[in-house]
Amino acid sequence: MNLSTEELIHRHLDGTLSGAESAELNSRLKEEAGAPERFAKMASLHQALSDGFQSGTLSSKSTSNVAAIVDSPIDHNESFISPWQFAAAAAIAFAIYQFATRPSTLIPIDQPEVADQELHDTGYAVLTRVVDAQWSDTNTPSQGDFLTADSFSLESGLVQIEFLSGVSLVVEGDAEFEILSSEEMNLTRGKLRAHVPPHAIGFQIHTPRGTALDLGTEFALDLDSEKCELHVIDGEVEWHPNDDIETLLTEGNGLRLSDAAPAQIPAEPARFTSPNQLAAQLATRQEKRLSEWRAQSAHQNLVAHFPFDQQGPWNRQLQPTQSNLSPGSIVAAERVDGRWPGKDALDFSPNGSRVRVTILGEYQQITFSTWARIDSLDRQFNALFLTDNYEEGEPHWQLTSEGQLFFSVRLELDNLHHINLSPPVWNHASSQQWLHLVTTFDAPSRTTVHYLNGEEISREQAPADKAVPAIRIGNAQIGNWGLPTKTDPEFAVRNLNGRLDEFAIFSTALSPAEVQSLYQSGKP
Amino acid sequence: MDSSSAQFTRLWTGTLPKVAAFVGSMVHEVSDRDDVLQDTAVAAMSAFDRYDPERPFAAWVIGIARNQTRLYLRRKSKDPLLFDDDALDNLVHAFSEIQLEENDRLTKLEFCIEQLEGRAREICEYRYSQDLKPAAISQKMGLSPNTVAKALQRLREQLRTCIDSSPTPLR
Repeated sequence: MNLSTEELIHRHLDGTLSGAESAELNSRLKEEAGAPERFAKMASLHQALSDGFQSGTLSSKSTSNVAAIVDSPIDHNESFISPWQFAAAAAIAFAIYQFATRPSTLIPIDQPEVADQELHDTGYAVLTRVVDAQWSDTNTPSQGDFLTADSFSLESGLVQIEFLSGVSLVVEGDAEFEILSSEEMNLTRGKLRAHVPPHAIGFQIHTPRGTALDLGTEFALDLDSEKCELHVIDGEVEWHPNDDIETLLTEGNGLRLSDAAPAQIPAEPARFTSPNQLAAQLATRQEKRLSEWRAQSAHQNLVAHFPFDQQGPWNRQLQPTQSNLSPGSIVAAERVDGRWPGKDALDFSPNGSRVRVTILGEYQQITFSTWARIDSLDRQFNALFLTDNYEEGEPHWQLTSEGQLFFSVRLELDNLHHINLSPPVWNHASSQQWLHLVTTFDAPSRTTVHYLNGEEISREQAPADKAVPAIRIGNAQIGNWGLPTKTDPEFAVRNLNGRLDEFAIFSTALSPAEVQSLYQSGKP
Repeated sequence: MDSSSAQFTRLWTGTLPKVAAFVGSMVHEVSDRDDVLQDTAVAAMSAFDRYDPERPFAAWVIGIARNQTRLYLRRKSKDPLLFDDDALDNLVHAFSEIQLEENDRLTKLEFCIEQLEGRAREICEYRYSQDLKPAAISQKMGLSPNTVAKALQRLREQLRTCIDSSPTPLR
């Protein structure tokens, strides 16, 4: 090794040392008197150059500045604004912001400046499983939601969070945590169990007492104001106290940190809910919900009710609970899982999918209700329930590509209809969620009300010249529209890209309270 | 801001140049350095109630910066720190002992850079204004990487001498 210590320092700062040369510099920093001081001094200069040029203070082409500087008898401390002062102000402002406002963003999400055509999601993790979760503040994510950099306060219940990096967490309420990125989070209170696969090694959980860094594969934290316990269930974890050197903990071992000295403790995996235990709890809950749903008494004023819950083979028929109604004919749509395991739904994404039904009678009021899990709304109109043709008095219930509920009733020939749109009920982020969609219509008052998950989201009265004398259905289809004619095989594509589970039509316009109770009795 | 935050802010601001120099010598990307500085500010602030005012603040906070640098490099799956604990102990000490006048001296940099002759000036700008590594500079200028490495060392030593030798060159 023939490089001088000076050469090694400079080359280190430029990032060009080989592994052996770095090792040599490392030994000289330990053995050669004055080497660390020379390193620090040169690093300060390196830093000042880097900051000065990056911030524009050391302007590259400005030879004329020399005269100005030489001529003015300035006090440097006042008039030379060091880039460090900018950096200092920014870092301090940032640190205080972090402290003062809990919902904070440590790492900003890069937003592309130019909106392009590709669909983008925003988030670091997905809330994949939820058991009886009660969130205490305005941040109340649902199962299937993306979680972005944000603070969460889980009062009770259990949630499973899967980071896009591959890390999976079970958090037990009462807990308070903040997601910072796919690689790190803060935990300020509560219990969690983390599984960190090899591709996510380095995942970090910061606590007020220090940081747990996972080297794979499973560990748990239990944190309150008195203490912080770290339990290594499998693999290895490094504990980095904020102001001390780290300790390595291995499988079966734990650490208890409090205001007293740190204490070694045995790991107690049984104290922390595992993903399998959470899945089992969820399954028990779902079974219970399904049997409650099955046991409920029939609602009043049902014209047609398809529960999508038939024993035995379906024979491509969708059975109504009304004995006077013929079964619907399933075309192309496939039987898939519904709101609960063991409960069916129909997937309308295969081409031509629909359920053909016939519903007779004339109505002054009507309510449509369904549970939908929508993958995408890629048609201009996406069918929920449409009559075969669109003749006087016939209702059409569908979703626009913008995610709005669209309800209309055909008037006479030269007076088409009045369109009643809701605010959007769906966007790409809700594609894993079962949504309860309800629309009621009262012909005498010309009033349409749309509901999402039991809540009224819009109410509109049509103008007097758009009055509907009576509603008729006749032949109709769930999940699609349009039939080829004898001479023309072409028809509009409106099949719903998603699944429906339970479909009901009532002969009254349900009240907000009735819709809420319908939602409560059917929600997964 | 409560009095403890105010006290922290005062101490941190005074120490930041040293902390930045330390972190900047451990990571090679400017964006990494800024991220680590943020992490350090947050960690130091949350540990501030355990800071013993009898100890030098700079040594304490550079120690935190060292831990945060290590955590950051791990999290980002970047190359780990090149130095072992003993070497880092020495460096933490050396950076914390940098004299306050250093900051004043560095304000003469602009003047000293003007003294660099043509090629050195050009290399300096490529390196710091455009944040190019020596390999990229050598390609741009048609020089060997070794020549660029030596030129960088020489120009930094020249700048060092310039700012150290003339304590009041601008008056």
